[in-house]
Amino acid sequence: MIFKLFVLKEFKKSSYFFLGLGFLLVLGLSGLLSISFLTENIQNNLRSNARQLLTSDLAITARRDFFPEERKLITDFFKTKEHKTYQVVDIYSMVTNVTTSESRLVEIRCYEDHFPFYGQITSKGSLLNQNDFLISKELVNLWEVQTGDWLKIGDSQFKVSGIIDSDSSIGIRGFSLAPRIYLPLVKIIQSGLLRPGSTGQFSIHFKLNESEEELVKIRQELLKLLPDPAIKVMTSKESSNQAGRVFDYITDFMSLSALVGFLLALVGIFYFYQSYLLTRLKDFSLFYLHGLNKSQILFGIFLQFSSLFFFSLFIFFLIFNPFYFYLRDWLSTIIGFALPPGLNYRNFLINIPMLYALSLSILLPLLKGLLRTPLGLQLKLSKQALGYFHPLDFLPFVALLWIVAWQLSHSLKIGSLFLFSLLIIFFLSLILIKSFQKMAIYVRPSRTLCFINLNIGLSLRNFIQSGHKLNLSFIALVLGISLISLIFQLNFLIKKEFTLTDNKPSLFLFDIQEDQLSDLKKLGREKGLELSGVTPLVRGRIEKLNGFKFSRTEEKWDNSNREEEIEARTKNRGINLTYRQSLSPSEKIIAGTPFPETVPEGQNFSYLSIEERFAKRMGIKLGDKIIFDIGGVEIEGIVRNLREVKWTSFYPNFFVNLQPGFIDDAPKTYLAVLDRSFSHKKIDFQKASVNKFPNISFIDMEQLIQKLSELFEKSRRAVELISWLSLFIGFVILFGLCQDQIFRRTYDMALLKSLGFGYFSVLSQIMIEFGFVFFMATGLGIFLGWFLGAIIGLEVFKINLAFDFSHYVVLFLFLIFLCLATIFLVSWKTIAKNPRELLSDN
Amino acid sequence: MMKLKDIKKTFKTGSQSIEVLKGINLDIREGETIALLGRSGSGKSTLLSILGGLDNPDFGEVWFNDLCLNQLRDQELVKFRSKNIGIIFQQFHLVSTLTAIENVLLPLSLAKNTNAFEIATKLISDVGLTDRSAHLPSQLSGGESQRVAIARALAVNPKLLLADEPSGNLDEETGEKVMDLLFGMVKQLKTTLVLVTHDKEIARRCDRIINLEHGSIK
Amino acid sequence: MKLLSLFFLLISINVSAQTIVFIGDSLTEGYQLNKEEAYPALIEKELKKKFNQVKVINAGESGATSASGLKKLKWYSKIKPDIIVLALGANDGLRGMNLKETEKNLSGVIKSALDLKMKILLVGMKMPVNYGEPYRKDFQGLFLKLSNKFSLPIVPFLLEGVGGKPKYNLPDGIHPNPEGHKVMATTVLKHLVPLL
Repeated sequence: MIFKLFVLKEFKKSSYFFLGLGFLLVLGLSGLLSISFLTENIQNNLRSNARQLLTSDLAITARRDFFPEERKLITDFFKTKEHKTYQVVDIYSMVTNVTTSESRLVEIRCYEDHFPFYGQITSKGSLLNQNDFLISKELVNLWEVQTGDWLKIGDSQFKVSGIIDSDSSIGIRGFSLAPRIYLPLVKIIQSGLLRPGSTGQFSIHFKLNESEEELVKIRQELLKLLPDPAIKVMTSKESSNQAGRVFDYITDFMSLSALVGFLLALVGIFYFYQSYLLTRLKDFSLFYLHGLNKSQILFGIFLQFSSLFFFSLFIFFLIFNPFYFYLRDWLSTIIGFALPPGLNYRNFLINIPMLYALSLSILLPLLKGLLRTPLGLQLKLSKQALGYFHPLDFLPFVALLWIVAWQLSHSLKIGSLFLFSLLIIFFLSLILIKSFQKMAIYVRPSRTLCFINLNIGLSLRNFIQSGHKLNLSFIALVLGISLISLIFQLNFLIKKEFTLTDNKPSLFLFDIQEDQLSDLKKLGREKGLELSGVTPLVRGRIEKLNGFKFSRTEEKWDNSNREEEIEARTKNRGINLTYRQSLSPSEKIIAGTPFPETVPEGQNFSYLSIEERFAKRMGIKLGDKIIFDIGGVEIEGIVRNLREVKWTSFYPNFFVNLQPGFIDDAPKTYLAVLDRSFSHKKIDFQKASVNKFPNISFIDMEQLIQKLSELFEKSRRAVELISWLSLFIGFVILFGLCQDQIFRRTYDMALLKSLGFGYFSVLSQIMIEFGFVFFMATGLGIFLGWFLGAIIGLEVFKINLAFDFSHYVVLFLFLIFLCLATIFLVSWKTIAKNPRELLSDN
Repeated sequence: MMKLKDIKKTFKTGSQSIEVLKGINLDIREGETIALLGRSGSGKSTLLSILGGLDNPDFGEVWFNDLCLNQLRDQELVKFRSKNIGIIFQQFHLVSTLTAIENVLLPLSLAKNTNAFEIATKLISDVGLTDRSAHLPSQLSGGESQRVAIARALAVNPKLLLADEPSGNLDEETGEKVMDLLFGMVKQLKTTLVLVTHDKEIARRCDRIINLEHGSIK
Repeated sequence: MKLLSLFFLLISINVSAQTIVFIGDSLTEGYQLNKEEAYPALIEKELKKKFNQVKVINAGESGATSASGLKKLKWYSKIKPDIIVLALGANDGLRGMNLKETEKNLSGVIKSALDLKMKILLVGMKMPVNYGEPYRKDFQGLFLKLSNKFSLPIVPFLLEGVGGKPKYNLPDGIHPNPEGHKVMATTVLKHLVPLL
């Protein structure tokens, strides 16, 4: 009966309202639920990328061949698990071009059947098959060897069967020091190159039918089984390197953006549901008087809302499926990700209870208010009023929101930051609007209605009396605007930070001898290119820090403390030093002061500039004294500043910079980079250099950088899509708020018209009052968005903000225009209505 | 002062059309108090709105002295009405965001009256609400609100005052008090009053009673 | 008179200081190890037991190729070393460099050192099996060739007994650990002592 009364009848009676609310819910849910469908897919995409790099789910690797006992342990371990396996051995070798008798160094990747499990290596479009002997394009370029040529490898000769046109496995190192060729493992063994005394990377790869969590467990077990520190166990998780972590941030950010959209929808729902309850209060009072008790009424509303929620969910599901299938291709091009053909329902279903609970929690204050309403008296009152809200009523909502944010961002820190931001926005808005209302009361003239003029005077009075409905609208506006401004700002930051600019190098050169430098530059110029980033590298060792010897921690070569192992390594090895007067374009001082221009006579120490994270790892602070051993010569240094290095610039940068004038004469080599703009000349240049300067090494960065920035770009676009969705929701709310406000002023407006106020007059009053509120909301919103963006950018992304004033001005004007346009659209017809209706309200 | 010539008005509700006024002819003299009596649905409110220029007849003419109201443009009509006609509604429509005295100030400010505050204060005092002058309509009782409405309606000293069941939403005692006030002030200011009511007692207090039945004057 | 001059001669031998500079790559530098654990320092410790005034300079630099040898020599010639232990070439080989270049570079270092009246101990290296027999042969042969050409004492293989043995190497399988360096020190010392 309650269901019939509260759900079926109410839906029919206030169908417009519930449709609107339902629409809002669908919109709000769509962001989060789409993401829950897709993040797993996006993450899988990233993971599969990582798997492709590794070529398998799990790899056991070592820089030596495995002992028979080790092999047996491994085989026994995997006996009980469903698996496929192959070996891969990477070795360097000198191979000879039979035709020209020239020899050169190549990296030979020796593979077995089924290689690779993930990703592909193709030649002329067809996949690698177990008899192929493929060579990389690089080798072709550098050596002019073709398909069909014979190469002598070890004791055997092999015919080149093809040239690689795509290779998804970059390999464990990330780049190769020599061109790569693919040869079946059996053939390498035949060639005699693999026997005791060989060095290389030996791996045993596995394809397993296990979840991520299981893989982690398996890895731990294997590490215990094979305690020799020479053996490493890698899953696709480890091989996805630093980039993976940033992508996680980005997908989490996406979820938070979607949460923002959902939150806005909830705020709108709270606002509108409140209005709705108010209008229905009379009828509820009637129910009450006819025997329905309060808890039954509350239950009715609960049922009502729940039905709406699940109905909206159903609609979303109904729409999303065909929408997705038809538009998948178009969406894929927009985001740049190949979206999967099937939808992942697991995440979708997991998220629903959480979102349902969150939605209910926003209803709670309303229900409590209803509980406090003296229903019996409502019919007597000329104007109905809901019972008051107590701040504690909102506590469940706040708590749940915190948990949801935490869950979606997978980080307590980020979730808390998110909630903290929301609370700041809420309280600041409330304070602001109340202050302004107090101020308005203060400036209101007592003897006349005019304040500057009559229209403004009336707007002022409207504003003063607008009550907490306007306050709520204001808060909702500030919330929406600051969150949208925040999203766009972070979006802009990510774009700036991670897109491929022309400054990224395509080639990295090292081991350039001092006396080769000018000749190398000359060669470059002959080939029509310029080298950049020419930086000296001096090898040294940190001997003492503040008088204490820099010593190695006790050897603990057990596997559970690999982090300590790395730490130990960092503390004790030699270090590459450079000297520069000023910073490179990718460096910025964050503590301390720059080097002085000159070194005064008699100064026997060099100032040092240390990279901030390196300093943290080594326990180095400003003012510390470090003694370096540079080829037996002791050089003293004092830390003058700490700097931040943007390693993603791939520019030659060092952990420790000295001042010029101290180690300039020490034996050194040089690093240099070749800018992207010369990328088309790099093969030519490499060929010529190799002959003239055989000791100089080249690393081709282009592919690596290209891959990284493509991935970033894709993620960024996905984030943008979600941002637009949230913006749209915000707009829908705005529209609804304006409509509601105008609706409740209809009488007053008609009255004014009947008293002689013209259409334009009444319109101006509305525009002035709302314009003022929008102006304040937009101003505060944008400011808060910027402020919170700065904090989040720093804390989470470790990016320093660049304040682009013009962007904000544009955003500000756009938003105000949008708001004013909305209020105008909503009100112009109503204002034009005939006041006759006043008299016909019997 | 006012002349209604053969006023006809039809309302369409969905597919049905109802002829509310079927040719009304009426003369109103200056200073008169007229009661429009009739049952609900007889068309009296419609007639009142036409008198006040709030609505236009489908057929006929409305003359105010030598001005034909239903031929005036909207802007002119609004201006005319704000200067010459005061309206009191049944629902005591006060602007919810203005205090009692501010509500009375409203038409005065619109007319750019330089003595607005003094006039409003006096009127508020006349209706006996000086100590409630800074209260919002939500803080006033029904009777008090109606009194403010009366003060507002009379603020610009209109030539014609239209009142649509002014005591209709009030209890008997309050209603009587309000009517006493209304008649008192109308007499004092020599305002022409057209009063719509279904109450014969109230009707009898007017100079003339016009009975409206099914859209025609009986 | 003859006895007196012999006596002075004996005293002068014991009193003279000797500086030994080890020019090499990561094997000499002691990659990932403390300076004291690398074989040059171990050699110094051992030598100090017998000879009072011995100073060892570790000029090893990870990644160094034979091309950097001459500049290094010039730098250290300031302190007038008596003996140069030349242990370069491994990186040339690992990077597949043209061995003629390596030979040229190393010859240059040797010639300069000889001109400066320094004694030279040449340290030979071998390439791993996977580099292929021709190259390995040429590479190893290079050191012998130089040794013969300039009549220099030579340590045939620096990593004798160390290379390929996990217990003497770091987990990366290429660089020796402290234990490995001890073996290297013994290997080199054997050929170094006669030069002192």
